[in-house]
Amino acid sequence: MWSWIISEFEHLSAKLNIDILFLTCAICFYYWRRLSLAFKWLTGYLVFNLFIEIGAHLMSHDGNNLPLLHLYTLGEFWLWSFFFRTVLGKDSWLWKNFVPFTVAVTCLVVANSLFLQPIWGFNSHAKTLVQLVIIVYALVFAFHYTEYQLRQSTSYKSLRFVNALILMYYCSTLFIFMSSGFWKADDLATEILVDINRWLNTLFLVLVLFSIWKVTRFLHNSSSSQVSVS
Amino acid sequence: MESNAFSSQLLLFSGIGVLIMMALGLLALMLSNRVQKRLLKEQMDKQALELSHQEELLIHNIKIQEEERQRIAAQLHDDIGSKLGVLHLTLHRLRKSDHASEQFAEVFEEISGLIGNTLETTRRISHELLPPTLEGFGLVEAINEFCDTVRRTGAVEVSFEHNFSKSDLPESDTELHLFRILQELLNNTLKYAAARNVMISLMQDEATIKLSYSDDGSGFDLENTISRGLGLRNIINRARMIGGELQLSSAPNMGFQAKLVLANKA
Repeated sequence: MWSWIISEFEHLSAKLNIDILFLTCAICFYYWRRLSLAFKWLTGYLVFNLFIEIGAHLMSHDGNNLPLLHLYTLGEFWLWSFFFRTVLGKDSWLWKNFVPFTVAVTCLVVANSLFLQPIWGFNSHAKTLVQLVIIVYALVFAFHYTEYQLRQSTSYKSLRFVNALILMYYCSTLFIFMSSGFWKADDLATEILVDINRWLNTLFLVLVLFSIWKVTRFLHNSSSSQVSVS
Repeated sequence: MESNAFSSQLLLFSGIGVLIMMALGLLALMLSNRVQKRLLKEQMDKQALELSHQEELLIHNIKIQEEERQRIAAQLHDDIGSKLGVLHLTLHRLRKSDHASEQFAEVFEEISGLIGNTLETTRRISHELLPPTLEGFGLVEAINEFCDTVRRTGAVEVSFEHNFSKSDLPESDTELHLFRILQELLNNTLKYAAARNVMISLMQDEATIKLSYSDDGSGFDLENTISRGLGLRNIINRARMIGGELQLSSAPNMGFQAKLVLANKA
């Protein structure tokens, strides 16, 4: 029964993720010129995610699509790094040490794929490292002090919401990838964990779509404005 | 069977683990939110303090400015004006005297004209600094006179309506501030608005005095102008000084409207 549920869900969620990503990317491209730089990087991540999802969907018919997970880990790290570099600003540690830091993490991820966990297998070490880095980014941004005026803007509120989603999503998937180490010999266990990760990913993407919709709706409504004070 | 039990246990274990991790994430977010709120409150308190200090300074400046205007107006009128008057008379006497030569008649005429012009300029500056009509006849007459002056320039049509009688005018300080506010508003309209019509109304009922001002000019972005310009900030501060509630509204191509409401103490 479980194998049937798992296979059905895999089929459904893969398609659903592609649909959600496609819709979110389409909205972002429609409002591309008026989006802030941070949301442009977020769009970059979503487009990359969309291509990986499509690739994974196509490759799943032929068997092993795990090389895409290695590629996704690297791309995910770079795109979230650019996103947080933008939102944390020029005074942040990340901005000042962006190149050495990202190059160092990239080297570790690539070394893991070359020497520890080959690209045809699960890259749980690299994935855990990248997830930890992204969680740290999200925590730094959560505690990053912001001026009142900026805090009131719809764009900033949506950014905070996306940050909260990132933190919650990566915290939970961190657990999945860490615990996958215990069950690596068991195919069913691995499949269940991958599927839980898919559920979480779908939920994450739906909520990202919601935050993008909020921002673009604001951009749409703010095409004309009148100011008055009292 | 065994596989199903294992799957259920794994799902349960993973579910609990994921929930715990999510709870930790949520906890971090709540904590960050508290820290942000505290920092924000500290910053806002600091800003409010700075703002109130700035306001105090501005109000003090306005008071000093008014005192200086009064002092200069009085000196111009009483000292320089009267001395110029005496000089004019003396010159007139000299011209009429037997010793005055015919050859200096033209020079006398020229000096007399110059003194007359200077007297007129002195009187005008003195009146601009402190309109005597305001002191002598009150706010309504001063506004009427000011509106007439503007009408005569032909730049704009000004209408003024009121329901005041001389006996129920506000206190003299309030009168002066109301007049200055109106002066500033009308000057702004003349300088920047390219308006055709200006409507002023000064109405009172038992509880309130309402000064309304509107023009049909080009309008402007109010928020930016208030933060940049001293004129509108002066208006706001004068309104505060007399305990009035001021509402300003404008937008590009929408004209400008101001409404000041203050308690009627008369």
